[in-house]
Amino acid sequence: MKWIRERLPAWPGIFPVYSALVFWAYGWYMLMFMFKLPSWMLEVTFGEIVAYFSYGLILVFWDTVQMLAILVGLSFVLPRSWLNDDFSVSGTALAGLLFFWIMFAQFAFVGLVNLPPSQQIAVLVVALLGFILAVLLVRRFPAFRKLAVWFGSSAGIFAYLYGFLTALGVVVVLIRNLS
Amino acid sequence: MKPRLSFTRRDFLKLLALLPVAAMAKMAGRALPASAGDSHGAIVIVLDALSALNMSLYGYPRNTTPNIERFAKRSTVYHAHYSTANFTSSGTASLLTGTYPWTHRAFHYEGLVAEEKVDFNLFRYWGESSHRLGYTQNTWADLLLYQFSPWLDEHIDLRAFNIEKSPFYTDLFHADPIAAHKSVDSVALELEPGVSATPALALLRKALLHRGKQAADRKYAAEYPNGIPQTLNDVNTYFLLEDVFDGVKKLTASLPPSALAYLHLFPPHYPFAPRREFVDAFEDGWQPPVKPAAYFESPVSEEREAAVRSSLGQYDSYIATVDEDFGNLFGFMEREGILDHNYVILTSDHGEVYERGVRGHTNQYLYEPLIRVPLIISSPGQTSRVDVRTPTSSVDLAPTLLALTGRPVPTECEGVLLPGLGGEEDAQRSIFAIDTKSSHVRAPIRNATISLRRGAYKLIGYLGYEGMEDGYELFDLQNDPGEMVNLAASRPEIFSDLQKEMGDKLCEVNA
Repeated sequence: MKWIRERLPAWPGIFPVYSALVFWAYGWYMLMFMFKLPSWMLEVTFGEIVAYFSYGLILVFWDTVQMLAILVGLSFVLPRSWLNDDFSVSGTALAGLLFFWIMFAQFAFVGLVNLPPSQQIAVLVVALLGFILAVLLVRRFPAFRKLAVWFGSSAGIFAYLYGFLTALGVVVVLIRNLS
Repeated sequence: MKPRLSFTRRDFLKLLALLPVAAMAKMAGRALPASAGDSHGAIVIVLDALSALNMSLYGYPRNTTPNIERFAKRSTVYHAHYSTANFTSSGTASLLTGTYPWTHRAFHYEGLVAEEKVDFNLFRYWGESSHRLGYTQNTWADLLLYQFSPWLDEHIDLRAFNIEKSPFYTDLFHADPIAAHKSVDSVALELEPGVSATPALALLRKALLHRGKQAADRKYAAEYPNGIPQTLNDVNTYFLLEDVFDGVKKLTASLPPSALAYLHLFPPHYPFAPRREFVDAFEDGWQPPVKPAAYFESPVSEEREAAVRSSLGQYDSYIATVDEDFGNLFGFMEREGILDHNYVILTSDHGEVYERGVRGHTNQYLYEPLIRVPLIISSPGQTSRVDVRTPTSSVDLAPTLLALTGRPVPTECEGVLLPGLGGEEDAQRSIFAIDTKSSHVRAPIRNATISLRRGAYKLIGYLGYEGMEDGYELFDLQNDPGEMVNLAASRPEIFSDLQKEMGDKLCEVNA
């Protein structure tokens, strides 16, 4: 337990990273929801649309938890100095990168899984190099570091806002499934 | 003492009253049920996206449906049967409600029957004293079954006979499956192929499903060299066709008397997964005639038409695969005596097109391949084939089944009794189909493609499309079954007559 506690980034370090993830993931969900909204408006009532939105919010919350788990997991397996010691800044930089890499991977999923193994490895290496580059940028260049810190703290408002909306969504989904 | 033969004037009049029934029975061969108000059941088998024009039963030059032809030998075969729409939600809702899309309003992708119309459905009309079962592999049709679930005694899970049974929206949110599907499955996990609102979850799901599908493809590669059947998209649920048909056999065998079973199978819908013996069965060099470009398409180049047609052979191969399994099911139902106690109906919710620069059925067209679907009805104990060539509609099925089994036909039904099964042949009857995916369900229909078939002629209207003037295509299906020549300009009288009827109908439904 002690080892786990030592390796686990501190909460003040996790929050900006989670906020950054919330910004990207919920922002993308809102965009997709708006894309679907006009067709739903042709078809279902406002109440139903609120229900659909609520289901989505819960899934996005789960999405952000999954991605945070990946970043926290990385800080566990990598040497402390690589990620753990500077989790709030490096993690914030990695959050966006991870989100877009996952978006790309699922978008191009069929193409990726049909690539020869050597090319699949090449794609993974490119992704890994991107992650390393992001960490190096925020470590070595104060401007990037400042940007990451600013982004992590500014995105906090989204964590609270979407957290509140998700809690309401949970209530809506519970009512619909338990009533 | 020899009994005295008494034959009163009253008896004579009773016999006289039976004369029209006898005449109808003669007209319909042996298709007419033994008695009205019987206790026979009905088994409706829907093969998704099966175009009648690709079936050898209806004269297609490739031998795609020899087993369905065997079934037809003891059935009533409808040669000009039309779906009311060109995709699942609309077509299925019409089958199950006996109403046109402008009435049931399920005219969007994943569409639902309007709340105030949900009560109008075949399961409810069938009555709670008989068993009512619904099963489909198509999630959009499953949404409709969920809508009708208050009147279903058994709603079989859409994955019941699939190999892949991973957690799905129905497991997580079984009390609220429609909303869960609309948001979880179609938006969060897959809004469009490759686009998801929750990418991490979508990636995880895809990876798990892909792993399972690949293992299954490898395992059954000898039987299915192109991969095993699956529902839409590359990493959705997958199954063996024979497992699904075995499941259907069990369901049909377990039905109590006078039950209603609605069994909606996904094949031969894209993606095509023919079995080995059919993969190259139609690499015969045959090419269908080149047709003019579809209404909204630019002139079709040879390369584009070749690309569109490249899928036709695989579609035909998949139909032949499904036909083989249907043949097994037919043999089973014959052996088990299921055909002796049930009306068995084979039909489809919509068709499919591979011509005019258009592929599949996700479009706004209503050409014959997209809406002409099979309808074959085997009546209990029927032994000979009856052919009906006058146009009929999928809205006719529900009222016909109700009437055949002695149930009252509700006034809400817009269909009529099918000829040969209680109805009269009416060559001049008007049959409609509509595609209006961008209309509001609670507002008048403003933009739509509407087809009107009356007699030998078919008018297709493209009405209210943004930035375009209304346009029409008129075809003489008797002399031009391939819809090659637009007669809208050269037959002004027929054109204006049909155009007026179409306009009047639109006004009527929008009133």
